[in-house]
Order: sequence, then C-alpha cells, then structure tokens
Amino acid sequence: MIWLRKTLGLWLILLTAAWAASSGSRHLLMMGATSVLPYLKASVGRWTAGHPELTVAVSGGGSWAGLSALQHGHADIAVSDLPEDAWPVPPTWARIPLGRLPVLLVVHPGTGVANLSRHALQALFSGKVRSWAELGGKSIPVTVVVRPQGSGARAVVERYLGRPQLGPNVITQLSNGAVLAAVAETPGAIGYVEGLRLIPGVTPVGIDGRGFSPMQASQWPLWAESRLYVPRRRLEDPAVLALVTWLAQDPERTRYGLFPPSAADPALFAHAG
Amino acid sequence: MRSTHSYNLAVERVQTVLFWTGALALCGALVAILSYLTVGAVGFLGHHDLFGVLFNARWAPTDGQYGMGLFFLGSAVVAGLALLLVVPLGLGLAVWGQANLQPRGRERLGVYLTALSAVPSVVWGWWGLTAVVPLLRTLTGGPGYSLMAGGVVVGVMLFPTFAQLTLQALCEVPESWVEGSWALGASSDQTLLGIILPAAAEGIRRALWIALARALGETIAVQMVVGGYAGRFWGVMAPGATVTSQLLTDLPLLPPGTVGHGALDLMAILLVVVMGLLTRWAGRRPGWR
Repeated sequence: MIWLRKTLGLWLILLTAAWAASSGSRHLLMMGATSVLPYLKASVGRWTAGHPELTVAVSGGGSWAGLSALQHGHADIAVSDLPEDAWPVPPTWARIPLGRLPVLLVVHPGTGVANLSRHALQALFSGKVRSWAELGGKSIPVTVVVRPQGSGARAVVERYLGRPQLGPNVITQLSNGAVLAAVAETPGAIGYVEGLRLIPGVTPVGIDGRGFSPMQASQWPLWAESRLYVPRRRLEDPAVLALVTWLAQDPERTRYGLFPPSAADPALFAHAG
Repeated sequence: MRSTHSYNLAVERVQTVLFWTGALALCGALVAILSYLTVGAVGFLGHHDLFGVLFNARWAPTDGQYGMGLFFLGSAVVAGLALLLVVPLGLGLAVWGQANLQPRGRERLGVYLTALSAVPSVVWGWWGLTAVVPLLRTLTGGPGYSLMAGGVVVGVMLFPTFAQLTLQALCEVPESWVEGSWALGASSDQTLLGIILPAAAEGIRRALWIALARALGETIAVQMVVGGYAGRFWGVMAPGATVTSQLLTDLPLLPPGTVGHGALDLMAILLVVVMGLLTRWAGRRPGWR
C-alpha cells in the first residue's frame, strides 16, 4: 500500500503545482492565417517577455478557421487575410490591420516559363492546360498546388482568376511551407504562397509581364490584407489592447514580409463590417 | 497472518475500484464521442438528404456543397491497395517465420515487428513523402501524390502488424498436426496448404479485418501523400482524398456549430460504424466451425 500512497501523494503535488502555475496568469488564444504565424509567434514572444500576466498561444488553421473560432468563442483573437466580403464580420468586432502580404505565384524551375498571363493562369488552374508546352514551356505535365478552402491566399488568387473550377491535377497542401515544398519537389508544379520567404527549388513567375519587386510593389496585382479581429469588449482589457497595439505597430513586421496596410484599409481599431 | 489478509483485501478493493473506474471511463468516452457525432450528424441530415450527399461528388463546404461520396470511395481504394500489398508480404513473412525459425528466432522476429508497429504514423507519412511520392513520380510522370501513394504508405505501415498477428496464428497450430501430416507423407507445401493455413484461418482472418480497419482509419500518413484533391479522381495514380484526410483538412475550416461541421460529424460516424463492424467481424468465429 505504500506505493499507492506515494503515487497518490505525488499526483496531488503535481496537480497542486499545475494549478498554482496556471492561476497566476491569464491565457489568450490567437488563431487563424498561417501566413503571418512566423511574425506573430516572434512578436508575441517579445511582448509576453515583458508581460507575464498574460500567456498567449498562437495557432494556425487558416483564416476561415480563426474567424469561425472567434465567432464560436473558441479563440480570443482571429488572424485573417481573407477578403472582407468573403466573411461577414460582425459590427461588434474591431479590425486591426497588420499589413499586406504579396501572394506570389511560384513554379518548379523545370517548367521553362517566367511569366504567365491572367488568361493562362485561369487555364492552368481549371485544368484546361495540361502541359507547359502549351504555354511555351517544356513538355512537362502541369500539377497545380493549392491551399484548402478557407485560406486567404486561395481566396485572393481565386478571386483574381474569376473563381475557376479546379481541374483534376490539383494537390492540396495545408500550409505555405507545404506548398513550397510540393512545388520544389514536383516537376511541372505551380502554386502560390504569401510573403517573400521562398525556398531553393522554386521560381517566382510574373503576371502579365509584371514581376514582383519590393521597390515597385504597387504594380503587383495579388495582395492579402492581414488583420486581427477581436471583440471590442475585449479591448477594454488593457493587456489585450496593449498586445494588439504592439502587434499592429511592431517595427519588426517588415522583416517578415509585411508591407504597410493599404490606404483603403481602415485605421487601427476601426469597427468591422 | 492477519495483516497479510488485510493487505490482500485492501489490494483487491483497490483493484476493483480501478477496474470499474477504467471500464466506466471507457464506456463513458465511447458514449460521449458517439453522442456528440450523432447529434451533429442528425442536425446535418435535418437539412440534407443522406443519399444526396453520399452520391454527390461536389465537396465545397464554404458554398454549401457537401457531396462526400468520393471520400468514401477514396478510403476504399487506399485500403484496398494497402491490403493488396500487405497480405502477400505479411503472409509470406509469417509462413517463412513459422516454417524456418526456432521459437527463439520467432520471438526475436516478433520483437522487431512490434518495434516497427510502434513507429508513429507521421514518420511513415514522412517516409512516403521522401520515398514513395518521388518514386511514383518517376515511374508514372504524374505528380506522385496519389491514392496509390496513400495505399503504399498504409500498406507498408500495416505490414508489421499484419505479419505479427498472422505469425501468431500460424504458430498456434499444434506441432503434432504438422508432424502428423509429414508422417502421412505430405510434402511441406501440402502441409502448409492442407493443414497449417486452414487451421490458422481464423487468426489470419482476424489479422486481415484489423488491418483493413486500420487502413480505413489512418489519417496523417495518408493526408501527407494522397494529394487532398476533393473532386473526381481519374485513377489510382491521381491525387484524391479519403474520409480521414478530408476530416483533417476541413476540421479547422468547419468548427463546431457550423452546418459543415455536421457534415464532418456524419462522415466520422459513418467511418466509425464501418470500422466497428469490421472489428466485430474480426472477433467473431466463422459459422462453419
């Protein structure tokens, strides 16, 4: 029986320690777009180092998932880069723009193309063009790599292309990184990613003769507006207000590929909807 | 003497409490999961026709389209391909082990197979990404991500489990039956086909059903290599999706409380029912014995 007493005693000690450790601080869950996860994780880490009263978990899942989770009370802050008309945001939420991320089209280097027209992209994504030779490239079958429904990048690209019905040569990958890896490893692959963090083995392509350049960013047609959404009543909590203000103004944003919000995006803490 | 008796009684009481706690927790968890899924699925079926969603190929939950038939077809194809791979290989290894290894060798083989069975699914998926997908890409010229890749990964993943269960079944055949067959002049092949395999048939059948249930339920390893294409696939070398891979992909998109989550509940409970039936058949004795 001694072992039983010891086990029970140890269990009670651990339970008490866990309760004591968790009761000293409040917890926030931030969930949504994977495109800004690297920035948010780094920035939240810096902020919480000086604010031990709040622990913040940053989770992905995609923009739609973040907004749904906030709507159903499963998250405290949503991170989304969906176009605003793709998700009816309640007027009780505040919108905090983080910045804009370019959505880049990337291909496997073996395709032999460096530029595509919008019309060619529509044909590629809808499966009407099955070989790169039809677009002046090499004779390699086309594989389209997309993000799941509910991804902000997918919403931006599909809107630009007129919401094409995807063809049968499509692979779905759950994150920006997985898209890059799939494109890099699959000859003939084309995909899209948010931000400028490309990997070796993928080549960015221009659209209608325009390549992406940070110096001429305004000419690039595909942008995702990254925003935080938080119920306005939560902003009455000084710690939450301080956190979202920090995230919206952290000077490190540009290091993660975030460009300043567009002039059309309403100012900090504007009413959503 | 008296203190030993008291000690035994106390230990017995603790054992009884632990047993009942475990049993009740297990039943409670099962009832809770099934109830949760059923409530969601029934809510969904209040707005959608079961046959309509099962025989519809269009899955676009953000547009209110919930055709899930292709996912069940994808699961069946992946599980079928996995069994095509695992049954001959697993049976071959088990027969070889039973015929050629001494008890100590069989024990060692069992340890190796157990260690392989314990490799996490995500590692098998990773292996699939780095070995199976590029191999299929080279062989077919396609993307490599395909139902075939899912079938191969699941097949290799289930190989140790199936081989081990089959080896156990073969080793349970009494040695005297085998020796009797030899004494009557039967060859090794005749003994295998006429005595050993029929006698172990029930255990092999059980191993097969368990492998099939696991193949249908495998999620992350399949999701990593199957391609995740939620439309009509044109062959086993094409990207596709299974019930479990689509559940994994769309769970973040369709949180609890949404209509689409009800569709996921329906998919999940149909899968649970199929897997439950398979494991029930695995545990049942054939009627002819």
